Amino acid sequence: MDARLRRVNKEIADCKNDRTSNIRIELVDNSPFHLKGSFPGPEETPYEGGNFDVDIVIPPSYPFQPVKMKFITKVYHPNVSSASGAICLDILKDAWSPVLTLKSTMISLQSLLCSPEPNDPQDAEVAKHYMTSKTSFEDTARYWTEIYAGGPGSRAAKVASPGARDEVAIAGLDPQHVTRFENLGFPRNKVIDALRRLNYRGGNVSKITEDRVVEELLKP
Amino acid sequence: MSQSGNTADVNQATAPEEHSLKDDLKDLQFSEVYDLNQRTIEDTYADGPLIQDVAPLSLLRSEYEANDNHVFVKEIDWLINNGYHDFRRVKGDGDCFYRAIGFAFFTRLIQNPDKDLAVVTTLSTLMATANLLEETGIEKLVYEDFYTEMEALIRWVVVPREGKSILTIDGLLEYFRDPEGSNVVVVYLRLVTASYIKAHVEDFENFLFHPETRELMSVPDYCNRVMGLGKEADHVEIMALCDAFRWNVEVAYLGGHSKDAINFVKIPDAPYPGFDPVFLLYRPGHYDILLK
Repeated sequence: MDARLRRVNKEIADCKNDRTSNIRIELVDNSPFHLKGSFPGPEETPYEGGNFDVDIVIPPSYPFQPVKMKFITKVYHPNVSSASGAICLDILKDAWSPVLTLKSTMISLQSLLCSPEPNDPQDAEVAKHYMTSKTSFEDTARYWTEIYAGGPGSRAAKVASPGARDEVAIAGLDPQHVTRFENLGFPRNKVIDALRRLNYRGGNVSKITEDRVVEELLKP
Repeated sequence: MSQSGNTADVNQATAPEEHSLKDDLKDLQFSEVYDLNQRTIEDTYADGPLIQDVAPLSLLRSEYEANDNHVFVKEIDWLINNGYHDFRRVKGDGDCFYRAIGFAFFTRLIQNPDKDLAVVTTLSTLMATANLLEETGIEKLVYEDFYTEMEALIRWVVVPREGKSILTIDGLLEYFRDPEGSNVVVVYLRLVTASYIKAHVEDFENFLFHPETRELMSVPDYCNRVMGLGKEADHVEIMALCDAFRWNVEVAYLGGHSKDAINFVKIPDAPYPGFDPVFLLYRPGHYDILLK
């Protein structure tokens, strides 16, 4: 008798039978304890039109302990690490309870995309971007949805290879700002890194002196 | 214990501001005593099983005597003089209340002179709790495995289970020491507690305080917390659980709450017929099983 296996099998079947939630779950390597979930980006958000894949690991003590989830698809969101896909969500940590299921947890992830919590960030740089300029943040999140989550948009369709992706748009920066510091003789990728770290966006631009940017650029 | 000695030294050294500082120290000392008690409890359980063997209460008395904790010693003396000679330590992992009461209840079931009737009664109460879960919106998918296991465990008191003979106290202890086993009981009791509160909002809504911040919580927030493992239980949860299962519990509260004797609280006020009460021993932040 394996209580965990019985429960997970029921949960997988429950997702398959539910046609209203749009949550899909599939096995990875034929193991019911390593799954891939996916859901469509919520409407009227920068994630609309994208399809988001989530890596799901069922720990040995499930459902007493929370399921482990992280985004496979790259997501630009204050509560998701832009590098690793790690998610900051209370129910995946100390607010977990055994009444939560794969389906309800995936629905919570979907809701997280609708309502970011920048005060409890997983990715501090993205959270700063969100706080500084929501419009600029949303442009960047939308671009990420296009290029990483197969979202709608003309730009992604034209992109032939990853190298041709617009690195400035990925970093959520203004191309004019990048060009300005490139013209001082700094390599483009270094300028992008520095401006992203400094959150050189919106109202912040006037607060950050050129000297400060150059200082950042000269850091080894 | 050097607790009081330290405080006296600090008082002498800061004589000029004695008055206000003394008040601060009083508070500090209280929280220190509380922390110390917590540490003592945690140290004793660190590597121990989820539920320990029966130990004489005089052992606990000697631990507090060694710490110069006269309040606790006096209260333990009262318990011993009134026939409560033994106790079982329960691991302080935030689930001690639910694990303790679950174990103590099954002990009562095993010891019941009319076990067949007690089991039938308990099974029918269990069935009612499943309806309660259903009515308060807990998915069947979520509770049915816990329910089935609870049902099998209750039946095991009177019929052999999967080649194992009828449940004894030793068998129960083995079951509860396996986290897979006793966590099923802990989770089921937590779900029922949360659902009972949801179904009786008007009785509880003014008493749902966050254990750390002491702020009033909403019913859903409070109940979500109750349903998670490792979250300490408060008085509201004890009342809700006892009402849902028609259990009688008597809790001995140690820690100088009462001037004479000890603060012994019966829940509910008027006991449900058919079952002897189970006894719990409470020290700040922790429950153990008390035995007569």
